Amino acid sequence: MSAIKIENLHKTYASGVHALKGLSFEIKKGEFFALLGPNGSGKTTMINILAGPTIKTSGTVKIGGTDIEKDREKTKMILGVVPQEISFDSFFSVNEVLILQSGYYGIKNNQKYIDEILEKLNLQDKKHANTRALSGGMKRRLLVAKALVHKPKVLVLDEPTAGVDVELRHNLWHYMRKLNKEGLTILLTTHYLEEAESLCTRTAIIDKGELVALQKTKDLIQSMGNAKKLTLTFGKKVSKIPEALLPFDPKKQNDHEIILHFETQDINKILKALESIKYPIVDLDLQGKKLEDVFIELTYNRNGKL
Amino acid sequence: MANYRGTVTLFKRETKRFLKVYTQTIFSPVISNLLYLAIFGLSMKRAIPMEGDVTYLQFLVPGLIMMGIINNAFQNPSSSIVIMRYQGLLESLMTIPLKRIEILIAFMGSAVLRGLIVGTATLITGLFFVSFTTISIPIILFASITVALFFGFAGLVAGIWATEFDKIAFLTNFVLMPLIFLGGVFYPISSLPPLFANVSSFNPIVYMIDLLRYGFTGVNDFSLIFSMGIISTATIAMGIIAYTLLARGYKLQN
Repeated sequence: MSAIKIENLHKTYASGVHALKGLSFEIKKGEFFALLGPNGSGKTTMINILAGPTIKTSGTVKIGGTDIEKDREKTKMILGVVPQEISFDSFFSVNEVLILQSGYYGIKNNQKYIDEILEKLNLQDKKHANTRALSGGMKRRLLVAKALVHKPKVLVLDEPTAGVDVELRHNLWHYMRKLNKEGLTILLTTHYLEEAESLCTRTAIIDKGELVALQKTKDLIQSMGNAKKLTLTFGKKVSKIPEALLPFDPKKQNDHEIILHFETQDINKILKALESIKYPIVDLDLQGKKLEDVFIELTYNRNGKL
Repeated sequence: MANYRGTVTLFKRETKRFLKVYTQTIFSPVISNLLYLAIFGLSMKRAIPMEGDVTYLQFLVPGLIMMGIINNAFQNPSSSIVIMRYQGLLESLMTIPLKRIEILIAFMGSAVLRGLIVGTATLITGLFFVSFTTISIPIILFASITVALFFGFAGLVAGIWATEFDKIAFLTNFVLMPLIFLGGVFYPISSLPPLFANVSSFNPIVYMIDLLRYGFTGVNDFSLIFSMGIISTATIAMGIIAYTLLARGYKLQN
């Protein structure tokens, strides 16, 4: 069964901007799903239609099998949303904000779960601090906490790690992976493509309000071909590229480094070639295609921007 | 299905918000009214003719109570929504699982409560200056609650319409305050020349103050049924406008 099902979704703003042009896709229950796209591609518009702040022009959106037009409140109960824009209620402390948020979803006496979330998000020592006193990263983590207090079935994260430092980002993803394993469906948009690559089983890429790719994240990366890049570092100066390496499109980076390009199926040929050369190799760096390459190919290159 | 706890939570949020800044929201209007009592009450009591046994201070206090109710019931939802807009919280309000009617009930509950708190505090302050009995508690309650509701609705409409604090200040200073001051807080409408009395009859606040004043003093310029009819009709009309704007997401959703 699908957690989110979007069919032929259109959004035209009052300004005339056609932000979504017939978007259709489905997110299955329990998925960790990435939605990628350049700025202005329509990601936030789509998320705001799911969450409530934006009204769709046409099309169908179902959350947990319920059409948002038929029972808006029921679909809102299923969702937890971390918005892209940082907002905070300056009249209240972190704990008060989370108690109020629980109440909106009909939950009383939620302190135990609130404490657990605060601990997981490293906010426990700010429990009684006014939200005004939080740093940007803390405010963003408070938004994550707010989205989780009612134990949603589907969590929508709209760039949740912008401004969050490396260690806390790591903690956040560890927590999200745990929640996903426990059955939470997660829709993630991010500009950190390595996050999407390591976390998400499927990835959709949208550009100018249209879906340009939707595949398993691994397949999407492989669809760009199996090209690999191998950087060899030598222990002594290499005056001339060894003959054994010539079939692999070698590029001399400097006196000690040569970069080879090859397809995955040629890996054995590369290994044999490396054995035959007389220069001592002190380091190897192997790189494959990344989600970032796919993203650039399908968005910027498609539009001739790069 | 109705979300009772959610509605009560939003009501609590709105109420805690104004109670946390009680110096601005409760003390400040009470102090202002105290100054009005002192300045107008003591200086103008000889200048304004009174009917029967009612003293000028007894006449003035209900007007000040109504002024407190009107201002505070209006300001509660209007300032809350404008602040929410500035802090990016309107998106959250549109995301929580509350029906628009539930949002309206929560906001109005808090607006009426704040109006009544300030009204009661003004009454208590007034008792230090003048003693008076009540003629009709049901009329006092009807006038106070209905007027607080009317201005709660008006405040919500203003908050939704005003995308900036300047617009709220404009409405408060150039529309609301003149209507209140010309609505008979400080003088009986019957004491005005006929032309001004006729113009004043188009100001709904005149009937609100007149009705409350009757409840305390038994003195009124207009028929009770007529005033109650005007106030009820205006409140229902403003309620429909407020609900319609909320339901359509006017300036709340895009």
